[in-house]
Amino acid sequence: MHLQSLLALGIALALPLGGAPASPQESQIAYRVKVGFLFNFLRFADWPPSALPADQPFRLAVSADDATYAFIESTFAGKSVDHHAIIVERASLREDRPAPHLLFITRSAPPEMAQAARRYAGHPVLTIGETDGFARRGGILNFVQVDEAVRFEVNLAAAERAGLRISSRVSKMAILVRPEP
Amino acid sequence: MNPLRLISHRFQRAPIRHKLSAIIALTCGVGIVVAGAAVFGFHAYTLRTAFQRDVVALAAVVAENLAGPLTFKDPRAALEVLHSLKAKPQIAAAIVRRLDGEVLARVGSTAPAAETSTAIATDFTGWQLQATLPVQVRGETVGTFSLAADFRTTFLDSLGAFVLSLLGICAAALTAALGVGYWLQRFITLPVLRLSRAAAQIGERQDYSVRVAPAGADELGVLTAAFNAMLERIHASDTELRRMNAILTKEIEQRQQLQSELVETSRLAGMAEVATGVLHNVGNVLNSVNVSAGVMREQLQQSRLATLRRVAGLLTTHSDNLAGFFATDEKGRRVPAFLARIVDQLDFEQRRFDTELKGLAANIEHIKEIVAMQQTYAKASALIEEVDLGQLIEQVISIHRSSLQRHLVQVAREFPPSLPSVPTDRHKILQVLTNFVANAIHALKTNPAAQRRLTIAIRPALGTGELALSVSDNGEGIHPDNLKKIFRQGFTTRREGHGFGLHSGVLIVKALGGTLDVESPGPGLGSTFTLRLPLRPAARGRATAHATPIPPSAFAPRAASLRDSGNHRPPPRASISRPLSA
Repeated sequence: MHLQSLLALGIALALPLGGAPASPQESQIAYRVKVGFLFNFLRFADWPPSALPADQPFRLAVSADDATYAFIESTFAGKSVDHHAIIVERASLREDRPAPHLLFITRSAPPEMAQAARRYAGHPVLTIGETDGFARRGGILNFVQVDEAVRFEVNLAAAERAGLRISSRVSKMAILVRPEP
Repeated sequence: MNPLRLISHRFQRAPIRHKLSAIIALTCGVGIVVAGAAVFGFHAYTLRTAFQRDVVALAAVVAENLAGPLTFKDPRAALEVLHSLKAKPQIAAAIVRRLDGEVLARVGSTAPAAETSTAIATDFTGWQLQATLPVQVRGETVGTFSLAADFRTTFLDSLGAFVLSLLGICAAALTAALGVGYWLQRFITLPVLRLSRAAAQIGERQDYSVRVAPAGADELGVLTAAFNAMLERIHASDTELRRMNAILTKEIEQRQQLQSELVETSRLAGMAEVATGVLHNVGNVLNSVNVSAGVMREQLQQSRLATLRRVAGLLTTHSDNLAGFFATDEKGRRVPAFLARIVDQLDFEQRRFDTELKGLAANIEHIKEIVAMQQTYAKASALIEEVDLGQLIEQVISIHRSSLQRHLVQVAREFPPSLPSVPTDRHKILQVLTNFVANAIHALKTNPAAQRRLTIAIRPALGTGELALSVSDNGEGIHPDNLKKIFRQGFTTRREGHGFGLHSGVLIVKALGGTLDVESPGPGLGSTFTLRLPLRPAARGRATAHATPIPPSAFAPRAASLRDSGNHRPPPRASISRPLSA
């Protein structure tokens, strides 16, 4: 079951890497794993209490096409982490919008989202991308494809700057990257 | 030999120092080993507890590290985490399970029990410890981690290290104990060694002036003091003994001197005895010769030669008329009868002279024999040769023949015609026997003439390889008091005796390896002198059981004895026998 899902994931991920746009079906399969990872990241990352007071919901901003966004939103619907209800919202870099707790910038995100890392630098926002070099350019986590398996890179310096504590249990599994100078 | 007995034997023979060292080493060793075993027992118990705690702690750490792989369902990461256990050789197997029981990763051959638990579970069976821990993320169980560990390696490693360190401790402790023991041993072994050396020195040099240095006031000190005191006494005794020994040696030398002088005197006395015997017997024979000569002289004095001469004168005067003379003359008529008587007389005298001359010649011959015999023995002195005792006895009797005849002594011989020859000194034995016979003749003088009996017997002393030659008489006997003294030098009951005869006999027979005994029931009851001689030469020691046995039948009383007395008394029961060696 696990192997099959991995294979399916591999096939699903191979296609967008090949440059062809992913079909909604394929996107769902590929993002099922990544959403699982996202959920796990929530369990292994700690936000400063000031950024996530006890009675506040957990704001998860997603920058993706509609299908992917819908899939993610449906997946997290009704879920909570550490007694914080998870609220999925569309990512926005606007200054008047408060910074979310987690920002997932998918491959289908608009180009201006490339500024997100810079926009939220120093803010307790767990920025997660899935494009090559995202972590090196200031993102905290970045999904990568290694030997047909989904792995992720982590930029611990960025996480530290953001005031987030990434559990060593995650960083152990991650590919550690250094930010570009 | 039993190894234990061998060790015990060796231990007993070892010097005290080594014994003490061995005792110290053994005691220390046993103490250390017992203490070590107790410590190790406790150590093993705590080690087991610690092992369990460590394994659980390790499992907890690994489980912590497995939270990520389990959460992210990453078997490779899980395997990597598990591979980190390779550094722990005691870990036999490890398995990571997801909540649904699916195995995410495993290492090792033995499969830990498949169980999922939300609490830590441990099972220590024998050498195997199994620990199962839940893997939790933020209080939520995401899977289980099971670990199988083998306590044996840890235990054996620990045991090895412990034994090594125990050996090291033992070595160090023994070295220290032996060092201290060596230093302390001085207080025990040094005095003992001193005693031992002193004893050895005394043993080697007989030097009792040695003293051992005092050694404190303990038992060894007391022993040393006692040893010294003992040496003091021994030294004094030894000095006294040496002094006495010197005196005794001197006395012995003097006695030996006296003895040799005495032996010489005895020898001379013995020779004198024989010479006396010879002279005595020669005298006896000469007496017979003298008697014969007297008889003949008397006979000659009584001769009718003068009457015959007168008859011859008458015949010459009447030669012209002899017929007338014989016919008419009174004297002439008596001449024929007278001549006839003269003839008878001369015939008688001739026969008497013949007899006397024959006796005379025989006596002179006897004197010659006696003298020749004495000369023969005088020459053959100190010569051991095979001696025919029968012949020797005849010679002794021959020496004494005239005395025996004159005193009308009956001689009985009780020995077989053929006797084994005895290796001995002919002259000396003759001397002894001559003395015996002379004494016997003397002892018989008081008996009535018809009751003078001398018995010479030879019998085997059964089982001793000796011949016993006895000379018995039924004469005056010996008083019991005198029996004890009879062989002493200078002891005699005779007025003309010198007390050398029997004493020199004792010395002679002793020199020849024999013995001399005397038995007598008492005064007036006769006596028996017995000479025992070995059948083997005296030089080979006293007679032994290996001597050629003589059949007792050879000693049956001789049938052709001169005169068998018939009423020979048996030897007295209460006789006093004086062995020569006494």
